Order: sequence, then structure tokens, then C-alpha cells
Amino acid sequence: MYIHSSSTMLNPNRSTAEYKKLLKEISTQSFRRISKFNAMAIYGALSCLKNKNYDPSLNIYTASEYGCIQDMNKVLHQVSKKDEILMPFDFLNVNGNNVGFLVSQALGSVGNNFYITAEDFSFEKAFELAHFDLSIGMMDEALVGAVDESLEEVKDHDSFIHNLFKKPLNDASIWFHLSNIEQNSLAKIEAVHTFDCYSKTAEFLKKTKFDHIACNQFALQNKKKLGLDDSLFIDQALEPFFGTQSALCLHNLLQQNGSLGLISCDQKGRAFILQLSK
Amino acid sequence: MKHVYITGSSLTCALGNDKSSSVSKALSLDSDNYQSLTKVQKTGYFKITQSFSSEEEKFYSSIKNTVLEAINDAKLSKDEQKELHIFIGSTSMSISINEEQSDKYYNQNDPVMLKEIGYGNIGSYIEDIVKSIHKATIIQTACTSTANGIAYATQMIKAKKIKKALVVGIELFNKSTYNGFESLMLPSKTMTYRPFDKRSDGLILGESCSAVVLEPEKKDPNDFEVLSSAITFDNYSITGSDPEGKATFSCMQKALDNAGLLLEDITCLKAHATGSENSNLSEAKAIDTLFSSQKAKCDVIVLKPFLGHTLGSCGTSEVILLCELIKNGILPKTLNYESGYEDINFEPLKETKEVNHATILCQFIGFGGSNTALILSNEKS
Repeated sequence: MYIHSSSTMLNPNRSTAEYKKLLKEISTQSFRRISKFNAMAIYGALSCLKNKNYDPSLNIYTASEYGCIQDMNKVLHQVSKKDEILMPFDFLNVNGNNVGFLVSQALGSVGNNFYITAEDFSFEKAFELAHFDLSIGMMDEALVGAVDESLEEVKDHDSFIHNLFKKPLNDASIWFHLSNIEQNSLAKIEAVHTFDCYSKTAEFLKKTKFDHIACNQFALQNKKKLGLDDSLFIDQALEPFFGTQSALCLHNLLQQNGSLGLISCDQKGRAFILQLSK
Repeated sequence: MKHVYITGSSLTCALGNDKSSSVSKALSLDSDNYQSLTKVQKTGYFKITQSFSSEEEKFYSSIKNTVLEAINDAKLSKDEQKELHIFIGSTSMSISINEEQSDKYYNQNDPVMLKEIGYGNIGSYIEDIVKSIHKATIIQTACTSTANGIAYATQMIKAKKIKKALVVGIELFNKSTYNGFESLMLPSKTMTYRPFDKRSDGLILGESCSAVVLEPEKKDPNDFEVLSSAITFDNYSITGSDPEGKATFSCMQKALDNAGLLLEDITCLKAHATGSENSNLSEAKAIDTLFSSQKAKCDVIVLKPFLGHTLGSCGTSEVILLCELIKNGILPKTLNYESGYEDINFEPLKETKEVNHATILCQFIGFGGSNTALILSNEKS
């Protein structure tokens, strides 16, 4: 199994109109009344597959930690105020899974699509599901995306999220094209490992040789417990915060060569390790 | 070949506050006494009748009670519970909790605007209830969410990626969904749920919290086995189905192919049968195509008049209700049905039928083009 391409879009909090404008630059399709979240997702997915050959029957897995928060707040305001009427498109925009339909429509794809969430592991779970489907031959290609809006406009946002290193908040849409075909690939996916505690993860890491590693914030915070060698870390100092941050770790890791490891942990000490070679 | 069975289940819905009372109520329902259930529809919803002090208490208590009932039903030991991989499906998730808080914020000067951001914490909550060592996965594919949870959990057990699974579905009343469906002009005005009937004037939403435990070995001779699944995509429209029902037909056909079965091996087909005109006609066309292509027919079962449309949780709630009714010896007739559409060559089951065991094909269709079919059986092999 291989990663064929990746795209990354990172911005400080931007408006829906700005993302729609960006979309117009890369697509001739009309995207009226779509949410900021959906516009970000479509832009990221189209960027990832731009000038690439892909199988239209690819499956799409969209991961998000916080979902379409801006439109959710709009809907909550509408249903709280007696004189406000909820409009169909506003309702549809807060149904997270609709993002898969819209991305699929933009790509002209006909495969299945899934919207996945898991606390602190949304991207990891989406990637794991795509990896599973590819491994059992459900399809030959997959598109895995991590989409999260900046929470800057959400009141008291810090009380809800796990921004351990108090990094600046960003909008992000990061996508990966996976395939069972080796030709023209960027990196090989050697294995996906999961562990239920730090000690088992540390034991695995002790026996496994990596040339470069990237870690999510919980793994970074617990690097001593995991026995991680500081010299293997890629530079992650300038990475901003968004819900599905480990997608950016993977994107940056792919700039390196050799044996690569994405190491993610959650707050309960469970781990997801993606082992790659490039 | 690996096998996967539903070894435990639980259901809270408008019919009852647990599986046993829900099934008893369903067994007693007839078109004549149907209004005894539908009196709760004055609110336009099939509501869970239990009272709670807040939306937050309702959401988390419903989950906790449902999960514990399913665990007890499967007779899982503490060690077995730790091995459960959790899959959660829902359309509206816990939005009712944020609505309650948002109402206080906008109308009562409460300084707090939201209770939660994102839904991952629901998974962590269930992990803590069962003490699972594994990370929970939340799948949102609208009305196919829990059906997809069952499909994935089954495939992963068969592939030996996981040992056992708990699939949880929850859908509770919230203004966003209700007003949203109203904005799309989907709810019934007559408050009588009659999918596939030519007088059908829309759907009635329902609340449910339901869960199934999936394991590779039977606990009871009557446990249903999940034989196969299939998932297809209808790219016609976000809210509407292709009028020809192609994706729905191919979904059901793929599930049959994956199980190595023909339609003649199927006791009944549980249709999604939402009650909205576009979805009804599309699915009816797909069923017609399946019957004509296989030159065979089977009974067609419609469950939403019992439960309401429980959206993302209908995969678990409808599978559980049908399996339990079959274990009780019946295939339920279609409540409120009189006559169907012209040009459609089948009618849903009109009279309750006695059965001992059954092989069932369950079809689910969701906004966003998602179609999922499951085949289950408790026939003696």
C-alpha cells in the first residue's frame, strides 16, 4: 500500500467567501451555499488530486475533530431564536457526512464516503479505516482527508480542546491519496500499529528503527515515557494547532527519506503508529 | 470462514424503555390500536417516554443504560468488555445538549454558549462505561451510520483485526434536525406513518438508543449471524435518491453476492421505507428490479411505523426489533398500509406471518447518497 500524493492547506481563520474564491481558482463547478467546512474540504481534496490520475471508484474518508463549527453555531442561533427560520442549506451544512458527497461530486468519483471522528484520533481512525479497506481489497484507491476549522471565533474555545502547547489556531484541510499500486508512489505504507498503553508502545519503538519521526502533541508530551530519540524528530516547532493536527505531522514527515514513523497518542495513553518507507 | 453473531442487544425507543418492553409493545400493535403509540406524535415525533431533568442527562443516561443492557444481554465478563471495539453511529449526535445550552445563552443571559465541541467525547464516555482498552470510532453517514458500524465491525472481526465489537446508535429529539426536516418539507402532516402506501405524506422522526454486541461465536442457538454486508454510493443528490434506484439495487445485490445467496434464500427484505415520496419510489423501484432480475420475491417488511425514523441509529434499532420479533415467531405486517403505488409490482407484508427462523436482507439509505445492506440469519445451517 502506498501514499501517492498529499496536499496541505493551512490558514489563520478565514471566511467562507475567501475559501469559495480559492475554489474558483481550481474548479469550474458551482459551489453555492456550501459551508466554510465543505469549501475547505473540497479545496484540499481537489488540490491533492490535481494533475493526478485516480480511479473514480476511490473511497473518501473525511476526518474531523470538531466538524463544521461555524455553521453549527449559526444553526444553534437560528433554533434558539423564535423569530429565526432554519433554512435547508444551513441544516444540510451541519450534517458532517454531506462533505463526502460534495467532495465526491467535485472529483466526479463514485466510490463510498465516510465521515469519521474519534477523540484526539479522528485522522488516525480515518486512516486506519482506509488502510483496512485497501488491505481487504474493498477498493484499490482511497482519499483520506483531515479537515478542521479554526476555533478562534468560538467563545471559550480553550476550555473544550486539547491544545497542549497553546499553539496558534488554524483552518486546515490536509489530504492523502492512497493506492495499492506502487508505480509513481511517494512512500510505501509498511504497517499500521495500534497499542493500548505507553509501555507496549515503548516496547515496540525500542525494537523498531526509524530514520525520522513525527509526533502528535500527546506523543510529544510523553516522549520520555515512549523512549523517543530526540535526534529523530523532524522540526515541528512551527506547526499550528487544529483538531486533526497529526495529518500535518504526516504531511511534513513525507518530506523526509528513509524509514519514517508517525507516532500519535491520545490522552488515555493509547497509540497509533504509521510506519512508512521512502 | 469466520462467523460473526449478534450475541447481545438493547433497545430504548418510543415503544419502550428497554428491549423487552419495546418488543412486547411491538407485538401488541395493530392498525386498530396504533393510535396508542402515536399519541406521542402530538409533538411530531416518536419520543422516548422516560423523563429526564436535562438533555445532557437524557443523552448520557440513555447511552449508559443501553450499553449496559447490551453487555448484560451478551453476558460479557469484565475481561471480555475490555476487548470491545466501539463503533458509534448517529446523525445528530449530541446536538440536543448544545441546543439546550445555546437556548440559555441567547435567551437567559447564561455566559456559556456551548457544552461540547465535536463528538469524540461520546466515544470516550462509552469506553469508560465498558472499560474498553480500544479507541472508539464514530461513523457519520446519516441514516446508514449504525448499519455501517455493524458492517465494519463484522468485517474486522472476520479479518481478525478485532476480537469483538459494540455498535451503539443514538438519535434524540433536537430542534435542528426537526426544523431542518421541516424546511425540506419531509415530515408527515397527517401524523400517520405509512411508507410505500400511495397516501403516504411524509415521515415521522423517532428517538432511539440501541446497541448490539458482535462476537465470533454464538452465545444462544437463536443468535443472528451477520452473513454479509455491502455499501454503495448514490451520487444523484445530497437529499434525494436516484429515481431508478440503481445504487440501492446494486447494494442489495452485492450483499446477496457477498453472502453467496440468491433472493430465494431470503425470508424477508426489511426496506428502509422512509415515507418520503422520492425515497419511497426510488427504493420501491430498486426492490422491483431486484425481484425481476432474480425472478423471485420475498416478503417486504417496513418497521418505521413502529419506531419512527430513527435516522443514524436505525441500523441498530431496526435490526434489533426485527431480529427480536422473529425470535418471537413473527414477521410484522406493515402498519397503516392499504394500497401501494401504481407501476410497483410488490406490496409490503399485509398480514402478520408466523416464522420459526429467518434469513433477512436489511436495506438502509442515507442523505449524502449512502446505501448499506446487511444480511443476517438465525436459520439452522
